[in-house]
Amino acid sequence: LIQALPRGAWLRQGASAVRARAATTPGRLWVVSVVVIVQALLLWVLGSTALISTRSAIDTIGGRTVPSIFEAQMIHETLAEADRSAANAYLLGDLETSGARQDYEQEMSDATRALEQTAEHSGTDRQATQALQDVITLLTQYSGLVETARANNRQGYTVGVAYLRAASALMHEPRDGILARVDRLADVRSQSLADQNASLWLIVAMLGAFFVVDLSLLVVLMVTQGFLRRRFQRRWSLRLLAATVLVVGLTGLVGMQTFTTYRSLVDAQQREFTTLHNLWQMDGLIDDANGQDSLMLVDPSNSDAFNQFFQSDTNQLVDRQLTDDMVAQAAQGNVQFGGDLADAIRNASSPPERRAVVQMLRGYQHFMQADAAIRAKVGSDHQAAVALAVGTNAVQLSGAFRELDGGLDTAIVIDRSDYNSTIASAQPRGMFGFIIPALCIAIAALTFWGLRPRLAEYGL
Amino acid sequence: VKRPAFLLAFLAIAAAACSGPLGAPAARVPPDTRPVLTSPPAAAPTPNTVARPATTTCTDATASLRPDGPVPKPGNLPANSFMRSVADHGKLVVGVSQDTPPFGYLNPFDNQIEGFDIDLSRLVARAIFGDDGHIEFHVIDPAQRIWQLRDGTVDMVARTFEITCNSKKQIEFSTTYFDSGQRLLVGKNTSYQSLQDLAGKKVCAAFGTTSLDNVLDAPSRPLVTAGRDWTDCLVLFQQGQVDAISGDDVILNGLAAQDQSTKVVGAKFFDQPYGVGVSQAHPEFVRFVNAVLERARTDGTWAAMYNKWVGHGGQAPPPPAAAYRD
Repeated sequence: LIQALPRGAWLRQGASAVRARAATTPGRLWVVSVVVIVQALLLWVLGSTALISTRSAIDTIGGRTVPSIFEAQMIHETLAEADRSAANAYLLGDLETSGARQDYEQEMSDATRALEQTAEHSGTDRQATQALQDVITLLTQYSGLVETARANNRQGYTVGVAYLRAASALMHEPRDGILARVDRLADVRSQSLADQNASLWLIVAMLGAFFVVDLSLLVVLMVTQGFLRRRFQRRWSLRLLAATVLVVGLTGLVGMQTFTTYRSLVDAQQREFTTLHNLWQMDGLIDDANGQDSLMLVDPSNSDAFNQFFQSDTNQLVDRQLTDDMVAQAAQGNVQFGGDLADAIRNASSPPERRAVVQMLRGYQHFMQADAAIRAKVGSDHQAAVALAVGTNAVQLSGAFRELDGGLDTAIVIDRSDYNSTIASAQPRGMFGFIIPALCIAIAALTFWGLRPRLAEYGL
Repeated sequence: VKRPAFLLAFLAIAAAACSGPLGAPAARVPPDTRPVLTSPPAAAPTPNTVARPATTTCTDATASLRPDGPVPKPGNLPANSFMRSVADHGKLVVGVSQDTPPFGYLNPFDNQIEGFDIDLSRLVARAIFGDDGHIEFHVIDPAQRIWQLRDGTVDMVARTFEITCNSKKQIEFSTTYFDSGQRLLVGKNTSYQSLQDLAGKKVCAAFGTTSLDNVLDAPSRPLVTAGRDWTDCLVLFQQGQVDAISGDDVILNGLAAQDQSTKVVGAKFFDQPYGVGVSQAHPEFVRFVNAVLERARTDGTWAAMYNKWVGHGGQAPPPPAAAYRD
C-alpha cells in the first residue's frame, strides 16, 4: 500500500499520524522523552567536540606555532650575532682567538641546532620545509665564505675582506639573504597562527550550536513541567526539576569556561603576544644595529649605507638622543621620548620587567655613546675604532650591547613566562571531559525517569 | 552566544597575526655588495675601433698645474688657500683603498692602512702640518673617487687613480706619480694572453675604473663582470665565476701574490698613469701637491717608496716625469 501511494502523500500521512499520536497525552510524553534524549545526545557531542577542538587548538597555538615563531626569531638573532662575531674576528686579526671566533662558532652551532629543532616542528609543512632547506643551504655557503675570509686574513691577504663582504651580503641581502629567508620562515609560521586562529570559527560555531540546543532543552523541560502540572494536577516533578537544574548547571559551567578561555586567549594573543613580538622585533633591530658598526669597520667604503641602516634601526628604538635625565625619569615611569623602548617601559607589567627595560635603556644609551666614539675614530685611528667595537667594558660597543641585550633577554623571559601561563589558563579544565557526558546522561535519564510514572498510568 | 564578540576577538587575533610585525622588516641591511654580471653595452664599438673613450677632448691628460715654487713651510701656507683651511681644520682627509696592495690596504696584523698611496698621502699631510697624526683616511671604492672629491667629503684622493681626460672634466689631477698599465690576470693553467683570447669569456674589472671601460670597449667582446673592488673580482675568479681579471699591472700583481694559481700575462694594452685627485675648486692645492711630488722625485723619497712597496729591494726606475700645462 505504501509503495502504491505517491511519495508526498506518504510523508503527509506519516506526519499526520505523528501529530495525531502527539495530540494524546501519552504520545506527547513519548515525544518529549525522545526529544530530550536527542537534545542531550547533541549536547554531549557538541560540547565534547568543542572541548577537544579547543584543547587541540590551544595546544597547537601555545605549544607549537608561537614557539616556532619564537624559534625563527631566535635564529635571526643568533645568525645576526654570528655575522657580527665573524666581522669582529676579522677585525681582531691575529687576536681573533681571544673570543670573537669562539663566539662565532658557538652562534653558528646554536643557529644550526635551532634550525634542526625548527625542522622537527615543521612536520609535513612543505612550504616551511623548503624555506628551511634554503636557509640551511645558504648557511653552508655563508660559513664557507667566512672560513675562506679567515684563511686569507690569517695569511695577510686582503682578498679576505672581499670574502667577508660576500658572506655578509649573503646574510643581509634584503630579498634573498639568509636573514630575509629566516624572516620569511617566521612569516610562514605567522600565517599558520592566523590559519589556526581562523579555525577557531568552527569551535565558536559549535559552541553557538551547543547553547542553542541547551536553551531549547531548557525550554522543553520547562514546558513539560507546566504540562504535567496542568494535566496531572501535580505541583512539581522533582526529577524533571533536577534535570532542569542540571541543564542550567551545564549552561553555567560551559559558559564560564567559554568566557575564561575567551579572556585568556584575547589576553595571550592580543596583549602578551604583541608585547612579546615587539620585544623580539627590538631584539632583531638591536642585533642588526650592533652588526652595522663591525661591518662598517670591515667595509668602510660602504659606511654611508651602514650608517643609514644603523640610524634607521636605532631611531625605531628611541626617537631622539637620550640624556641621563631622560633615563632617570623613565625609570620613575615618566617617559619623555618615543620609540619601541618607550613603549616597552609603558607596557612593563611588573617591577622585574620594568627593571629589565630600564637596564635596556641604560644599555642603549651606552651603546649609542660607544657608537659615536667609534665613528669619531674611524679614518683617523682604525685600531682604536676596532678596540671600541670589540671591547667588552661598559663604554665599549660589545660591553654596552651585552647590557642592552641582557635587559632585553630578561624582559623576553618574563613576558614569555606570562604568555605561557595565560595560554595555559585558556585550556578548558580536565573535568569537562567527564562532566559534559555525565550531565547529558543524567539529564536524559532524569527526564525519562520523571515521565515514566505518568506513561505507566496509561499502561505504557 | 548573543554577539559575535568571541568571533571578532579571534578575527582580530588572526588579523593581528597576519598583518602584525611578525614579518620582520627586511630593509635594515646594507645593500647587496655582490658584483653583478653585465652584458657588453649595446653601443659597444665595432672591432678595430677600440680606443680610449671617444669623448676625450684634451690632448695630454697628464699635464697638470705647475707648482708656484718649492713646498712652503707648514707655518707659511698662503693665506686663503685650501692648504691653510686644511691646516686650520686640523686634518687632511684622504680617500684611499683598503684592499689594493701594494698601494693601499689594511694590514690585518696591525689594523693599519698602508701602502704606496698611503705614504704619498702622509707626505702631503706632513707638508701641511709639519708632523704626522693629522691625516684621516676615508676608505672608498673606485666608483666613489670623483664624487667624494666633488662634494668635499675628502680633500684629496690617493687611490690608484688613473688620469684620464674624461675624469679631468670633473676633477683635477696632480702630475703622474706612478706609471701603470692594463694587463690580464688568468689561471696559471690557461693559455690566455690578451683580451682577444677572451672572446665570449667572462672578464672582471672593478666598477668605476677605466680598466672596466677598456674591457667593455674591447673588440673581442668578452662578457664583462663589474666587481665593486678588485678583491671582489679575485673572489669571483677563485669561485670560477670569471675567467680573467683585467686591470692595472701593479694591482694585478698584488692579486696574484694572494693566489698562487694565477699569473699576470700579456703586454700592457693601455697606459694607466696614476695621479692624486683634487677638486677643481682648489687649483692652488693641485700646485701644492705637485710641489710635494716634485720634491719627492728629487730627494729620493719616491725611489724609497717604490723600493718599499713595489720594487722589493730592486733598483727603482726613475720616477715618472712631471708634465705641466702652465
